[in-house]
Amino acid sequence: MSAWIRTLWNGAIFHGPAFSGLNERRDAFLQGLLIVLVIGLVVGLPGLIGDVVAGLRPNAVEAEMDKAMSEMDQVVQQMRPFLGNMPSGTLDEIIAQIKENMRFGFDIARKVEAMPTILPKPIDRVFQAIGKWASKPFGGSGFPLGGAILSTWLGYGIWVMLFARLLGGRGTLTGFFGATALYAVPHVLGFFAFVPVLGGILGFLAYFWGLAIYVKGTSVSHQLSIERALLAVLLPALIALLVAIISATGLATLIAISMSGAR
Amino acid sequence: MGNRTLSLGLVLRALFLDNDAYDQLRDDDNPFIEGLFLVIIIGAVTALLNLIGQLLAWAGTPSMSAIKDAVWQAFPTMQWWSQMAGNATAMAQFKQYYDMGWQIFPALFGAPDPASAAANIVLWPLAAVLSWLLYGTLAHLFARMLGGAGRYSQTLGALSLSFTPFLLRGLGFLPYFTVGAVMNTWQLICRYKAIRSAGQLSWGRAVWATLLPFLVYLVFWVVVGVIGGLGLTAAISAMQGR
Repeated sequence: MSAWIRTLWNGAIFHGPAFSGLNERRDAFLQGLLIVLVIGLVVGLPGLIGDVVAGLRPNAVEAEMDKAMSEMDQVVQQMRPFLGNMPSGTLDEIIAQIKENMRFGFDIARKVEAMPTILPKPIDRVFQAIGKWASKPFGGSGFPLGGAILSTWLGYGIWVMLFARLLGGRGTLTGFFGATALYAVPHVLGFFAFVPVLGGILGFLAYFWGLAIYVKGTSVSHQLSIERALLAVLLPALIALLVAIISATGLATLIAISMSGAR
Repeated sequence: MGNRTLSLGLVLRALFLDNDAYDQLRDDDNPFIEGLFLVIIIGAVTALLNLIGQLLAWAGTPSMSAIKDAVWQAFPTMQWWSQMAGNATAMAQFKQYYDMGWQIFPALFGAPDPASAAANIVLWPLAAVLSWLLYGTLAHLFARMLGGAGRYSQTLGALSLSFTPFLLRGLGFLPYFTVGAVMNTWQLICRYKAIRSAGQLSWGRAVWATLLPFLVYLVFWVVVGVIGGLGLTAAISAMQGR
């Protein structure tokens, strides 16, 4: 265990042998999987504890409703300066409508909460919290390599692997996935995501630190220069962005043509 | 009776992308039968484990019809309700959509459904076998075109190991556990490994043989879409012409 943690630490500080050691292991893929999975689960621990505590509170729905209403008020206060053109009466009407809908939702939630179930409610809430926590590393990521999440490690990884090979890389699939899994280590900072402001800053730091580790992992596993490895890591995202821009432009042009033709 | 190559160790080694596991099943005396057995077993066992999770989640959830009634009874508290309540036609239409919605949305939002989970014990192996045969046939054809050396049964045998990531579904014994896109990406990587092993292809050719079947799927669905669209247009114009 201590050797494993040392490997993770060495990876986080860009120590070459940590990457080459993982790259050369016969079970490199399994090791990489364990790194991403364990870090993903550790990062989710505060959320799990929070969900269990919130779920076991006697007036969970009331507490949730108060929290949602105060968050809504905060969002409205923050948005007011940006809604300068909107008459305040209209804005108040919209807010009142949203709040009415929220109250309607919570009213139903309260009734559902009171309905009988076969399994005692606290056990079900603990199950829900555990299910949500265990699912996190298997879920999706909004951004490439945006967390200790298996789908982005594998999904983005296959494209980087392809580009690295096209750029002259000689790495194996398992070695590549083993070495690049170290990108997940800085994401352990996501453990503090619940801390206001600091959580966001640490998340931002973890992303770029993880990205740099990923480039190093690609470089070591494929025996590529850092510049080529950086290119292999960035090209899939850049090409996807380019395709998205071209598709959006094409779609907008088509819509404009069809609208002008309809006149 | 031939030699049995399949074992839990082999399955786990294939899951973690060990080349030898794919080569071993490829070189079996009857890779097709071993592959068929594996694909069915993975489908059935994971569906059974998933059923446990669904049953536990179902036991912790109130009855769907009771929730449906509670929502319906809460509507009169909304402002718009009084406006709609005066119009019998609008009310009937609303009730119809409401009932229809309750048939569709609970399943879409992952409401526990032990009946569907039980049906999956048959459906998952069946779907897996169909997908295995269809993809395997196309991948074998492309691998041969690209210079692959493997026999059809060898391709299918090795490709059966690409269903090992579906073992993740077995974690569904935990209620409320969900697996995202990771399973399909992982399967794609295993498919590449299997095709490369069965056809003894270079990495570049193996990538093409892995991806080209998806191009066939895409072309098929585009053709179906175009034919369907044309048929619909013709039907609408025929109805307007009457």
